[in-house]
Amino acid sequence: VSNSHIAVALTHSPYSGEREGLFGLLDLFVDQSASLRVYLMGDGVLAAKEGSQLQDVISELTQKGVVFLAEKKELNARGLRNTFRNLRVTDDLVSEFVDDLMKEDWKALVI
Amino acid sequence: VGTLTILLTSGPYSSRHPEFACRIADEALKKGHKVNMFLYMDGVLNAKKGQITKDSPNIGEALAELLKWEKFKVIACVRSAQSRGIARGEADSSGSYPADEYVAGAVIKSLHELGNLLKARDKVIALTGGR
Repeated sequence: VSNSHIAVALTHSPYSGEREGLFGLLDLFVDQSASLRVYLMGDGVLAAKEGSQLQDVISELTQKGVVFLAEKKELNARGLRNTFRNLRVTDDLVSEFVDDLMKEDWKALVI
Repeated sequence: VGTLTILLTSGPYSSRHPEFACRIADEALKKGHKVNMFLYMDGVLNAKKGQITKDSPNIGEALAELLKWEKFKVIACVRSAQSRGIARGEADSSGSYPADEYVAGAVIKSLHELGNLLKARDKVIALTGGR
């Protein structure tokens, strides 16, 4: 993955499964890749809640340049109005994900 | 313009992966790309026709709508389909098995077809282990 651009789609709750493994993987990617964008899909948007246990680790990642994106509709569906400061909220997340995914120098991973 | 191959292993209504797969395919097609969707394991259930849903997005209908695009293909693994009672009979000369239970345009082939798609070395994403 060295010097790659990477789009990661997180499609499930960050609290299910191996949370440490997931964020460890993102941390590994950010240290090796040119840019990393994390698309929060479905229950993945639960990672965006301000004041959650994930706030510190997400803050570290955003300071390293990782961009987190979430779809407004999915946030609203879960009543998530207070999200972390650097979250990019979009009306069409999947379209943006496809744009990145299909770029020649980008790799994509769905988790 | 490129080709996107989507590997989908989750069945409909057990996770949101089939819905995401359809949305990703739809966006890629609208942007001019070709899209192949390979259904494997429980993923083969997504293309079954006659799905009746009340509040959930109807995955069978979504695939049927996407299959109106010439640039979109749905291929299901024959072993997975046979084991779930969807595929019966023998392959024709093109390697396709009877797909009477599927929405129009979806085909059933050997798992080798996935290998052929992967060999093309364009873009591949896997929606597996859906929760």
